[in-house]
Amino acid sequence: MKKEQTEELFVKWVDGRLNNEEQSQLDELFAADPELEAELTGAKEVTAVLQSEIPKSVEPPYPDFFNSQLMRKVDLEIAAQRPAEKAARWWESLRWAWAPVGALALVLAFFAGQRMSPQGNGGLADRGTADSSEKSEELPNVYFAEKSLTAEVIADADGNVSAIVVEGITAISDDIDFARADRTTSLPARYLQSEERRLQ
Amino acid sequence: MNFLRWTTSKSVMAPIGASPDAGSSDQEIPDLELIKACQGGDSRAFESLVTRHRGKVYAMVQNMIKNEADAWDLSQEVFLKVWKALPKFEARAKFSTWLYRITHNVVYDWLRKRKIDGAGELDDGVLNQSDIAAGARTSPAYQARPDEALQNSELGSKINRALATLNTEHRETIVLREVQGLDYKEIAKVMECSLGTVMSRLYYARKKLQSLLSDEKGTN
Amino acid sequence: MKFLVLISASALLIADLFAQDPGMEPIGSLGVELFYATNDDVKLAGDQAQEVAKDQVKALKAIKELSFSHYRRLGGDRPTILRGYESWATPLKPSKEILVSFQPIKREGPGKMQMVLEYWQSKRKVFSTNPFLTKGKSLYLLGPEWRKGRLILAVKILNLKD
Repeated sequence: MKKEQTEELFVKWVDGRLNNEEQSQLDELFAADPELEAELTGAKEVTAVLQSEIPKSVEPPYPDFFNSQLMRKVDLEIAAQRPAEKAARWWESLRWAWAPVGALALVLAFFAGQRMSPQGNGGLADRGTADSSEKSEELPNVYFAEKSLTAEVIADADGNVSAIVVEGITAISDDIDFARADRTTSLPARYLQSEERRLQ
Repeated sequence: MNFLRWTTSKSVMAPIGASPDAGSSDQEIPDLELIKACQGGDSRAFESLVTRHRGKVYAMVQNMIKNEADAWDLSQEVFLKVWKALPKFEARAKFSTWLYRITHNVVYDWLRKRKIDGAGELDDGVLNQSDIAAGARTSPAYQARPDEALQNSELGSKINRALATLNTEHRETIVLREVQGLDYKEIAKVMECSLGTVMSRLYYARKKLQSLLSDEKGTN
Repeated sequence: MKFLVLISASALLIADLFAQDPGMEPIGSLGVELFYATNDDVKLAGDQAQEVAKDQVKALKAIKELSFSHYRRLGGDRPTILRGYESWATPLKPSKEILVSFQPIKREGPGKMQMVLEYWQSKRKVFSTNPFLTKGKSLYLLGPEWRKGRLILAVKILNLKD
């Protein structure tokens, strides 16, 4: 039997895909080489571990931001292909995951784009330029754990973000003296993992 | 000094994996219907498609290049290409296979540009059993970062690192088969190779992984 | 049983592979400083607080929301930026009341990088953001109230490999 044929038999056996004829062929090989079945069983174990340990699906970090960033690119793509319809399309784009944040960021990104592209005529067509679209990509998003928080992003004249002002964060107790170590032991798990990694 | 100010609205952090936009109604709409809507220019339908499939694409890209920062960019590039190519998608084809094919092309383009895969295309006809030495690296180093889902799985980290020793073609073949669950013909379509090549790559990739792990077993 | 054998058999492989983990490569360092800003009595910051350099005061006062009468430096940290992993800054060590986690997202030319920054207070994540940081330029985060003043974080890339 050719090498390719035996390899195919082995692969199919691990996957449980042999037909009767192929199974018979493999049984002959097993009979001729008793260690072969044990070896292929090892391959099955590897397959099982791969299937159990490697996830089929992994959400990208900040999945909503992933979508909003992608859809912005899609909108630019649409705008580049259909300039005449761009104005209506642009303002229809209020459907992102966190619509208020997305829409506002979009509006402000537009204005930021205008500031950063002084050569433009100020119309919507400017948003299609590579320069302004790259600048708009640099606007940070801010994600809060609680609904009571708000943030203001402040950029300098060059468009570099200088400050993020967050309002609504719980005040730190006046009694806390930072010069003394915390007594609490419940640090974030990710912090502990990072420390463990750092100290290895 | 003049400053530009803008205020973000109140916003809630969603846990990783959750998407406020993925309503239960999206789960009932088949891919083909969403695709038809996309082909009609409905970008909202496209976003639903993205939400549904981004996990698979991101996982696939990450398994191939093991670099979270670039995995993000490449995953975005995959979907942007999908959007551009949707008018050409034919309903008789399986969307997920088509999606993996685009993912494959994007990753390989990136690898070619980065010249990460210094060994180039693997000629499976040349590779033989003597090349599969235990612990041998067949691909250059990559940037690894444990996926959050695997943070608590030591075995998962071990398998990831073993996968990293495979060259790009073998790694992709194994991941498409064992993780993504594609059948042999689908893998051949995604990787644009023959069925025989798929079988050969699967055989050698499994053998290599098995060799790596059993070698340690023997040492112990 | 077979899985247990696999697990126990892989220990040596792990040591070797981990040692070669490119994600652990240091690519730079981040400066995270914490300031106390107040229009009230600056001594409320405590004896450990340090005076703030004039140019730093000037930079803070240039931004309306960060402009206060007095400033003190409460602490700082200079953790390494790892290529593929999250790291943490503890600007108030030994206290871990305020933590900042950070991780590179992508490079954007020499000296510029997008990062995820997370602000943690009292062991809980409060907010996260994904700004582009330029080496040598501070990003200020106006934080919570404390002792009749506000805390201000200054985050800056100190070093970055090309």
